[in-house]
Amino acid sequence: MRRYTDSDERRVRTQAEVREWTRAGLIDTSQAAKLNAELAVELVRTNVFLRATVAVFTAVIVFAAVGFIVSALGLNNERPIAMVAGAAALACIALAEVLVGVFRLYRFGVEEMLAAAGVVLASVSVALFWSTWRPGSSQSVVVVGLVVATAGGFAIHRRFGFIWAALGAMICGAAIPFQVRELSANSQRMIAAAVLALVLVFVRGKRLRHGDEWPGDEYGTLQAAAFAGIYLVLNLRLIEVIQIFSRVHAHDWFYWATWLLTWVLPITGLVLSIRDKDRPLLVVSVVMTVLSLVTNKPYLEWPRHTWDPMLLGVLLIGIALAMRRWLSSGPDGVRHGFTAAQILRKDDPLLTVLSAAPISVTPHAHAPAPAPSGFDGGRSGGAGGGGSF
Amino acid sequence: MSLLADLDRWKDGGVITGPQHAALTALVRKDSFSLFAELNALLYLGVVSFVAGAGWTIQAHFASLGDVAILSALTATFLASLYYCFTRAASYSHAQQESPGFAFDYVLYLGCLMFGLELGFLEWRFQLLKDSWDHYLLLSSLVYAVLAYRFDNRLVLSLALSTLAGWFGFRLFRLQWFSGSLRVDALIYSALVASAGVVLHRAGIKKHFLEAYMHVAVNVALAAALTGVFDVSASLIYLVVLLGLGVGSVIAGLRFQRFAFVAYGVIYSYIGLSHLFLRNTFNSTVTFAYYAVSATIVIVFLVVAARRFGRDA
Repeated sequence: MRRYTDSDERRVRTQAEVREWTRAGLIDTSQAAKLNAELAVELVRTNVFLRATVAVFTAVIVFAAVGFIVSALGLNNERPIAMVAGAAALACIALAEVLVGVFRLYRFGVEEMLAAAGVVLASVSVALFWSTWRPGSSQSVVVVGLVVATAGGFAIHRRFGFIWAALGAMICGAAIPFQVRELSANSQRMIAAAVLALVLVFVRGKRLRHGDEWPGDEYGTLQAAAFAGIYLVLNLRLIEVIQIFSRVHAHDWFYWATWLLTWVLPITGLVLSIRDKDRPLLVVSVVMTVLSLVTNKPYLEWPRHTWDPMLLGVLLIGIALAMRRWLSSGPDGVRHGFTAAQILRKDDPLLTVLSAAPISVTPHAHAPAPAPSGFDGGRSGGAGGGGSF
Repeated sequence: MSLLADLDRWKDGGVITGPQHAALTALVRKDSFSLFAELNALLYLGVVSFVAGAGWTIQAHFASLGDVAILSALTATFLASLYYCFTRAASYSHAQQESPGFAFDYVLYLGCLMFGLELGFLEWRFQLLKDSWDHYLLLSSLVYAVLAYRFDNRLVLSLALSTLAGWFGFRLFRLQWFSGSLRVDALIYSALVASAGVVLHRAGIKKHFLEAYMHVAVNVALAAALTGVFDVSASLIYLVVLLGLGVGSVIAGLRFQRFAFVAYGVIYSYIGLSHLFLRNTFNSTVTFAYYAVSATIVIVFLVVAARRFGRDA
């Protein structure tokens, strides 16, 4: 059972909507004050910066406290350390319960990190106990740890509604097949994708039933994450885009099936998200589409060119401009319920993250000096091809 | 109860007007679904991808392309983007200005990135400034800053500040990482950046840019002071500086409700103090005890601060 009531969850979200409406000038501040008075909740909240800082220091406290006990007692064996970790896990969860139940903290950082630390410590504890019962089986120890983390993440999501806990549970659950060495690489990916597909089917049903409002917003995020997870697991060429890792792939049925899926998944996501006007799924689908464009050549083993990113850039810019022009030319700038205009003036996290990336070109190596002839200043005898700038 | 039902109730209760109810209902029903952020993100990624491809192509094929062709193309792109911006932008205003078009900010951004690419290529090929090539970064950051102010472009201002930070960081790296007077230089630099931001803000020139200046200035100053704490020969002086800056950042962050600065002040100061306390401690039990107790003190402070100043979620 959730520690927060449905009413509180809805009010918190409606308060956020009221803030956006006020910022967009759709309602004035006196109206916002009246609405906020009606929507008041008995929850203790804070802003994102203090929340993150408090969470970091809570993690420091928890793990330092556990380290202190282990160190002060001089524990070296797995079993006593597992007992300490287990006790600490219980203490963390209990403390999170108290902070939420008694002090009514809501997304404050402390209770979130305590719950997360509780799950991590429980995983470590169970894995250590397991290693004492099954010595020499490091593979099963990791699997057991991941199983506990999956269950724990799911449990604290159900209990406290932390969306990141559900996402963590999904990641841990999908990671389990990759720890089973008896499985082939293809089987590992297929099982991981199947796990995520099960999650997708479950949360999509909930998303469709609840729509955008709580708890539908949470299911929408989980649906998009499951979609992205399936894509990431099945795109065999993704890791090679960064050109650090390179693998030789057997061109079997699985290889070509995954190539097909790298197109089917984003297109399906785009169709569903446009039909349902589902923003999290739309964003994920757009990202998947871009990634499929990037990985298509490696998949087909076509030669890659240095100007490929330029073509991709032109394509993206062209799509954005064409879409914008098409939408804007509709009646009142709207076509089929979509508009390119900014309706709410909230800071979009996607753009904030993108604009924060410093993109500057810095010369850190010199090319060979140009030929002194000064003939056309153009060629340098072909040297310097391995240089960079 | 759904949001639509709430809206009906608020309209019936006279809290919102009929037209407001209609507008908000359309919004909640997603009758008009905005793709503004997604299209902007596509434009941004398109520009960055294009410039990355251009840089890669030039690097790989400069011999066959020829310097003249490369420099001409880069210069033409930069000038074309400037032409586009100058011919479409409204006249300069100290106040915040709306972008005159959907692609406007990104055309300027593309031009600036191509300008940076051109400077990089010039030095790479011709070594005009040789060991002082980092001055290209300074030059480009100045150009970006001028253009950012002229066209009220926060994206380009971020580029200017990050390029300036790159220039500054490179100088520090080349001169052995914050040693000696360079640390003082870093503090002076951040003081200048902060002062420039404050002076321009007080003069009413693009007041909304102030926060970008302060993020850079505070981080550089705190990082410089923190590295001083790690330097045994100068640690106490820099500890005082670090704590002074950290406390100042926290107080200013609380006063002006900019909580990122509270986080900066707390985290940098904590790392500095922890290093000082634990520098000669090799006992893990004491170390763990220190972290548990000190982090608890920080948490108590943050909770009190959050309760008093940072309730807004």
